[in-house]
Amino acid sequence: MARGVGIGLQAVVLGTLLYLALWQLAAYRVAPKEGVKGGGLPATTSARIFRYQGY
Amino acid sequence: MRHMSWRRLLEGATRPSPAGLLGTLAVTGIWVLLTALFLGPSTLAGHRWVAEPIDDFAWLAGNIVRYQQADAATLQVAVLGTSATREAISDGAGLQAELEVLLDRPVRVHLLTAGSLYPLEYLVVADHLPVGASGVLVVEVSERQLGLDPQTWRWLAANPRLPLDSPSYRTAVAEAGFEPRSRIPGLYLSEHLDFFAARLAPRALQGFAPVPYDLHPVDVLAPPADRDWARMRENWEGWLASFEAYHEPVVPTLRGLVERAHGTTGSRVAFLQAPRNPQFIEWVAGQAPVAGERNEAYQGRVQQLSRELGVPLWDLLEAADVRAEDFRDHAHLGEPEARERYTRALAEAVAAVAPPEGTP
Repeated sequence: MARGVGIGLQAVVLGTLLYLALWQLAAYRVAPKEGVKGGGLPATTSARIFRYQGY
Repeated sequence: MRHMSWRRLLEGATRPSPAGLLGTLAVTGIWVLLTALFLGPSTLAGHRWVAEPIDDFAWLAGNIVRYQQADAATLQVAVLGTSATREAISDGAGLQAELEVLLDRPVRVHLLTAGSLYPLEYLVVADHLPVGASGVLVVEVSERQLGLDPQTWRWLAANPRLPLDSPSYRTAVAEAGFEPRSRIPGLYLSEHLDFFAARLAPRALQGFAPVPYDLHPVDVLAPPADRDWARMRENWEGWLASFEAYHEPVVPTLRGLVERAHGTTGSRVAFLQAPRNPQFIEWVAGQAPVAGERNEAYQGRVQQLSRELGVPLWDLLEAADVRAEDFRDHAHLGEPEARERYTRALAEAVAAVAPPEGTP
């Protein structure tokens, strides 16, 4: 019984971490790069440069 | 006995096991399922995904959802365009107040603007118009927007910037000969994962607290130096060259928007010329006559299009008494008083074409 609870705890912690890691992986994949249009990305400094200083 | 239980629990929690692996995958799967179930367009309306004060596309997406949910009994006025139009308007509340005084009835204004928004992306709005609502849809047009080059088409086909499903967008991409992005059709999160992935971490760290949106980010920019003007000139000439070469495939997107607005809603549509610094235009046209000729060709084409579609074409610079010194650069107004005059001129133009009260 106690071992089962332990395995459950392990699953919740590792499963949640894996889920967050998947989000992080997806975020890394769409991270803005210099010169790339701001598209589905957050308005970062790069996007600001593109939009206004790049004109 | 109690000591033994804790040891067993610790063992279960720390040692790798097939059951632990299966449980881990199951928990991840449950999280993914819950996300797919609850993360939808309705979460955009509260602007909780706006990650920074200039996060244009999250802000615009929220405004599109609000526009779609608009009350059909109130006159709905939407202004669709780029940062050039946004920077020219004081704010949505100011425009709304002007209109309510002019029309003596409740009005709701929606600013549907984002930096470098293209007519292809206007089609997302076309698919989210408030059905049956009466109002005015003001649509910005410019040489830049009509000159959508194949490289940008391809980029927009692969990277839709607005997190809203739009069959018209996909159809326009396909009809222009590009491949629309397709992940898992019909699964919202799959189609728009990039938008949310880019914003989840910063928003979670901010506790999803509202981030005030900045309508006038040009105010903090330093006045352009000579090299900036040179770059603007290079870009403007490039837009005009793109217009000359590539504008015809863009025209159907504007036509589609106008037809949909007339068909779905009781909205009147008007085209609004993007503000351009007259001194800048004169300077470039003097230096590069071909740019001046292309600009004339653009003006002629957009006037022809306005006649073809039966929508008025407004250029409000004169009515608003906007001069070169009111611009921060080639396209963005930077003077608050000029913005107020422009907002008033826009309100007067909108009021003149607004459907009478009681029009369905």
